[in-house]
Amino acid sequence: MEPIKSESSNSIPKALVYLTMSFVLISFIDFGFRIHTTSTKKPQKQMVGWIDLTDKLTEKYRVSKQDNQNLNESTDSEFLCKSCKKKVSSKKTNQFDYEIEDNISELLGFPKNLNKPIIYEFYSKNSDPCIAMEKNSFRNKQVIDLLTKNFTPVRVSYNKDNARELMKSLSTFRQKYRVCAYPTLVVVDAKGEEVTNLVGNCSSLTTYKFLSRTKAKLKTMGYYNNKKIASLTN
Amino acid sequence: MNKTIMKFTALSACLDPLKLLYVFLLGFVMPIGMKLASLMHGVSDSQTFEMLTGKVGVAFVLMVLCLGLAGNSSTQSGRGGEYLPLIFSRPVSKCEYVLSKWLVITMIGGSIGAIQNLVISCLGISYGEIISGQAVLCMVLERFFDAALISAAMILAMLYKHPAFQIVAIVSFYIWLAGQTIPPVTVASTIGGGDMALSIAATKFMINMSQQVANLVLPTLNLYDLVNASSFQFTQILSYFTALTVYLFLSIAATTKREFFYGTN
Repeated sequence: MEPIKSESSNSIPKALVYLTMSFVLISFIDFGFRIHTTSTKKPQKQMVGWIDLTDKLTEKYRVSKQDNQNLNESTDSEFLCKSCKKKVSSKKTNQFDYEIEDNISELLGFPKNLNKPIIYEFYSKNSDPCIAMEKNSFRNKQVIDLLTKNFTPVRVSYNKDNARELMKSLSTFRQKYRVCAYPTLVVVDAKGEEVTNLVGNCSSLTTYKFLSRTKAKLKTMGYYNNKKIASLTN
Repeated sequence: MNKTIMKFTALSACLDPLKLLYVFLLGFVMPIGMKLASLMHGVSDSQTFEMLTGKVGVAFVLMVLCLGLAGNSSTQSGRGGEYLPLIFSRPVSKCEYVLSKWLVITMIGGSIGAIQNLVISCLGISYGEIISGQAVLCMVLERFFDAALISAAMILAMLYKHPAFQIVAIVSFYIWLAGQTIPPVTVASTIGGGDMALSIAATKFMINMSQQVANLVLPTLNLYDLVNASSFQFTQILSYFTALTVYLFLSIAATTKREFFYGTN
């Protein structure tokens, strides 16, 4: 004969009750703590060492603007137009017509490395999906390892405060790779042609699978092959 | 745990051929087809694929196979009375009933999700994707964790018969689902190279609302990120287990509070 159970069939297990109460209490405490620390939170350090193309382009633009100003000051002169018999200024207009794709090595400061093809991240600091991807996928150790060891990470960031001429250069560059949303990861080969891309804020696993698949594809194209690089460079 | 209840639940879930066909199509044919297409064309996986192989896929499978198992079909008046009074006239406690149902439904949803993810991982590996054993294990366990939470929420919605609560549950679920379908991007402006966020106020409100609802109602436990994070993520684990224990507690409490009719016509 089975022993008679002293507990009612309607009773909730005490372990579950205590566990639930504990979790709820800790959740409230954690919530309060997070609200309290939100205002004093420091911006998180970037785990992936992105080379900021926009910064380098901004520097180029600044130097170009300075050069133009100097040139205008030193060579500002008027001459008499023979046809209209009027005095005309020889001031140059401040134009910045910089083709990023043609001067990428100069801009980045190093030659294209066949062992580490460039991966562009088209990014905007005003974009929530970009910030979310930075917090999640780009803080995953495996993703960071795969990205930094096998690719040259370059960030092309868009900011509303950038100068108009700068935005034009960046826009042309973006249109070359048909990028219409942020964030977008674009992997390019040595000739600057797109190999593959990943659009949107993806999970760490998706990003990892994308990078590993891209690496496998690049291997079939001759990348990561020291012998081939040696023969190409000799 | 009651073995009879578990056996009955598993058989009820897996014996309907139409439901099994639906699960086979939505859970296997579609995601595998999408994966093959993206691998053969060398493009990245689509958002729909991510949904079907993640939490949303598990939710769809559970809704189809197991929706009535804990509540509705047990209380149908098909034979002139409810089944639950019949079950509880036996020496089966409410807690045993709820936990047995929850365990079996979790196993069903988690197993289907895990098998699906394993098949897709194998496909990816055959095309050159490198997926570590740790990542595969994390994916498989994540499906079980997702199934555990979704089944607990489903059981609570089925057993707590208050109409207002059920309406809130359904609306929350659809808000969460809507959030999963919105593309996680910011549209780039065509003029000047700047960015134009999804700036329609209603859309932005919907995205924020669905994120809040998701974090509260169905928090995600991303094991792969947890294992490989640079710092320990306590909040995610806490949110998940809080939601799970609250749902189980409320399910048992709702069942104990219910009055059953023991008479017959």
